Amino acid sequence: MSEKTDVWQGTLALMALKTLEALGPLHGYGIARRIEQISGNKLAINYGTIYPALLKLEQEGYIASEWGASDNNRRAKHYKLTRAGRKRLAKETQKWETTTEILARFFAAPEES
Amino acid sequence: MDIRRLRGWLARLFSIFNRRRRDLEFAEELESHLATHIEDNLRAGMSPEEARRVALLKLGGVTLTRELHREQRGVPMLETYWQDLRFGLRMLRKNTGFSLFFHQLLERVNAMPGVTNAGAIVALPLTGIDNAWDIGLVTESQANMSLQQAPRISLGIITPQYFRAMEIPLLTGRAFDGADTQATPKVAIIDERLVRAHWPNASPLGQRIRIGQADDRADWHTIVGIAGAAQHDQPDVATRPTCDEGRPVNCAPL
Repeated sequence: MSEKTDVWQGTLALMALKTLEALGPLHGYGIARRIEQISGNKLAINYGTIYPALLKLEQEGYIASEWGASDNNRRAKHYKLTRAGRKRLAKETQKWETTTEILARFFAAPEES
Repeated sequence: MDIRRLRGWLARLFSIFNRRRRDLEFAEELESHLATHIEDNLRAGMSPEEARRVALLKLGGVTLTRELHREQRGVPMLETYWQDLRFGLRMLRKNTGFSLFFHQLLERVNAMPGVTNAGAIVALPLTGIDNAWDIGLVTESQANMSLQQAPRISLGIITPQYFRAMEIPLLTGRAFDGADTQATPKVAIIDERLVRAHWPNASPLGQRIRIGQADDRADWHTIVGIAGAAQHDQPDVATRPTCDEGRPVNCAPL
């Protein structure tokens, strides 16, 4: 049985930004689904939690939203990345890479006897 | 404070003024989310019941999702203050001093050059400020229905000249006048959408409706007039039937 990992605090917004950068304008369900798929279904994500995260990003101007038709012709709210969102994503990606690199060094360091 | 964070807080602050519109919009977004997920589940071979159950489960609960969204959307503490303020204003309108103030104000506005009619209402249509009272309506034929389960309407408290000032036609019946006081039975003017919804084949004049937020605080009102439909919400929201409760004594007749 595969164990699912909870979404680490603060990373959901980053994953949503990355999804929008990769796929372009997308509705909330599509974003949540994509995050789950990219994680190889290893992240335990309640789809409902994506909406407060998207709202916060929109309130801060990192994404914008508009109503349009989805693939199945249903009316849906689509989110898209703004210029500020792209900048933040670039910055956060760099920060994340630095953090993981530092942690990787710690784990790779040989034990001292 | 970071400019983006400040922008976020300002957005939250202003959202308390159009809470109902935002609620409706998010309800539509959730509905669309669930419908899309259910369709995906059906394509994956689930039965309709299973598809819906799994979609709801995966969402994490509709009520909880709405609540989390509402918390992020506004400032919960301020919203409580806003509700208290509205309640205070509601109480204030029952005060004769407040009535006198409105009477004098409208008299002065009427006396201004170029003014043909002046009226007042608690929430002007199309202002973007969503502060009309969202309450339940029960007709005499459903007298046992609880107001919490009753169809929702917007309630506007108006002065007698309001319809004339806004050029909203009175289709039948009468407008409020000086004979309607707090000592006389309560009366209401409803709009034509409400007539179509509840009395499609009969005249509602003389019928009684119970309107209010809670069953123990709702009064019966007799319908005395029918007005044309006015846009009482922002244009992008489906307007609910509007019921204008008559308590002109609170805003002394002009």
